[in-house]
Amino acid sequence: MLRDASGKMVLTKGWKIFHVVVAIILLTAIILLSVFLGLSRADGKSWMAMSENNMESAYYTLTDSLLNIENNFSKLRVTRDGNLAGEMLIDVAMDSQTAAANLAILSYSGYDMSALVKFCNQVGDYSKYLVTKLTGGEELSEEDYNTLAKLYEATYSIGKKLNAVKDALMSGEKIVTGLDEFNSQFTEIADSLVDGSIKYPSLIYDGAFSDSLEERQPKALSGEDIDPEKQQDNIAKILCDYEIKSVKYTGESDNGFTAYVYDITLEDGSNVYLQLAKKGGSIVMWDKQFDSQQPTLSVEEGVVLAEQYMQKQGYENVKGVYACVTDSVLYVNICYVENDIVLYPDMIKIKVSLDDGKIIGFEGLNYIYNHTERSLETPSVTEGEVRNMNFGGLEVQSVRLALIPLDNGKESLTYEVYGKVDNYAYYVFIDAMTGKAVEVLQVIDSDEGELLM
Amino acid sequence: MDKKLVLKRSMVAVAVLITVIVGIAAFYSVQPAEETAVLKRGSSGSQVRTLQTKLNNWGYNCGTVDGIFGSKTVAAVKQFQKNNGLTVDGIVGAKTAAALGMTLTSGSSSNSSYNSSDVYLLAKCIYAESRGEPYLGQVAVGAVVLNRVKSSAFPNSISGVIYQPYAFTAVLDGQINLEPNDTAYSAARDAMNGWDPTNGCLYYYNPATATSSWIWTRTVKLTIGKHRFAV
Repeated sequence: MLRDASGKMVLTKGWKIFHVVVAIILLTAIILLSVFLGLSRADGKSWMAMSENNMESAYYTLTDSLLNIENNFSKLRVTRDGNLAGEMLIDVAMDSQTAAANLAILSYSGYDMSALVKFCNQVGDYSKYLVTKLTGGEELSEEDYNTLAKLYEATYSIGKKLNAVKDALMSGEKIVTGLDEFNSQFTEIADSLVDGSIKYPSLIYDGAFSDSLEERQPKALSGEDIDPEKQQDNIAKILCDYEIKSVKYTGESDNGFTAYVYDITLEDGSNVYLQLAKKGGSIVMWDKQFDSQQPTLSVEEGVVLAEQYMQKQGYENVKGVYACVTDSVLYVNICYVENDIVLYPDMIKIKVSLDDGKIIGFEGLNYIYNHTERSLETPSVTEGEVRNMNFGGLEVQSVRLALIPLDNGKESLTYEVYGKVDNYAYYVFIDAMTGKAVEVLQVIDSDEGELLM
Repeated sequence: MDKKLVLKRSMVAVAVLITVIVGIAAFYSVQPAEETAVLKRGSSGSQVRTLQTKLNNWGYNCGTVDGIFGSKTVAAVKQFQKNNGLTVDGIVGAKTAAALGMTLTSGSSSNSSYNSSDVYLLAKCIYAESRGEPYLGQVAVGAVVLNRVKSSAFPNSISGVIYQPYAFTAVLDGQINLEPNDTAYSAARDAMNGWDPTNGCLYYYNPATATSSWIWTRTVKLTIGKHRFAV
């Protein structure tokens, strides 16, 4: 830049060009930036709209399915024909699943609507139970119909309260921007199920979500209470594969029964987390982190080690019944065997390292809850009769007696029929008293696991 | 000022402009790479069986045709890739598959795609929610998810529970999309196999960060690491 004789600044031609170029560049940058911001905003808006649409779709699907349930319950008040009632109940079971899934989408924090989700799941489960009763040749009792009538009242009241949400939506309010508001409306409905302002019968029936299953008692715990601070010897026996550096008693776990919790440091620097039952001191569970290296042992060798470990810990008459491997970690399911009957409800799981054969975990909750003296019935169906049954395309490989746990918390003496179709493994369980099939299990990812005979 | 200098400065300015444009263009073109089907160590199922059968037939030793992509299959694939002038990585992608005469399809790599994705989802949730916690604290988080699946008051599937809005903060803020590490996978498998240090708890919270007043009303059953587990 130059100055003229009077001291004024004079722009040379070069500087003028430079300024013009800079101005053009700035202008272009501003235009680009605004386009970019505009696009981002539009993007944000469309994401928001999509979210809102998903929420509203969930809301309307929810109300539709609840209305269907209400209608079917209403019709069941004047239906005493088993077949027709069965059809309506199947619809209820399906609609309640839809309702529960959509409620979950609308839920604000995973817990405030749990009473409402529970209502839907329980209604569906109860309906399924009634359908099973009907297809089994039984009739529905007047008590069943009374319960259904009460459920109709409850569904009707819920529907009425949900209308408030609909009114808000129709007046243009958005769920995504008014989450707190909508949430409080849903929470109020859920609360009224809990506090009794919507009457909701207690559902006790043979199903997975029956109210009767909420309080289960540990059957296997017996003996004197142990002193939590004096378990060093007991723990050394449990962790017999390891050199223990220190045992730290960290406190109680108090869910269902009291257990003492220990944090154990081993000489190799790793940690074991262990729980002992207060009553009698039996192992509830223990586990340690494990990094797989190179397996050196076979599955069969690992299963033998798991069985030997169980015997060392004082569990007699146990047998590995199923094993699966991931990397070098072998999970072995171990069951009590009584008179050649496999007792699945008492199953204990053992984790074995196939790198060095050490036991790396023990899971005994099922044992603690279910293990007890049982008087098992004598089967009225023979193994030969079961082998002659029609199992579709199943190539039967083995049949043995097994006691299995059912969804409703009961146990059933069955024949376990194991076989394969196209390399995929199946278990079919046949009631040993009635000869009816009670359960079919398919081994998922069967390549990784195998049945042990 | 001479023309050269002007030219130089103009060029610098143009360069800045180009950088801005390229930057914005790059921002918009960042799309996740399209997912293509590959078979690699850890894959399993019918496609792996086909692969093993083909390799065995051509004299590459995969061992027994078991449908599991293990170390023997990796070695056989590498040998095949070497002999056919392909990149030797032991992974069957589109090119290796084409050389093998196979078409890879994503999904359905096992008899039920359900199981494997469940372990993956659970591991993701554990990693996002509790990666700084002691190992058993991570198993416990996995167990809480599975206890919710079993409970009537929550959705009846693992994905339903994990993606329930606002149920897990790590899902809400996107941490769920971090790739889980081996520890999270081990914890997920332990939880799926029944290990439950909480004995049936449905909730957990970190008392230092929990914002909901409701959660404090739950009965705490035990504490592991920074988390309180409750019903």
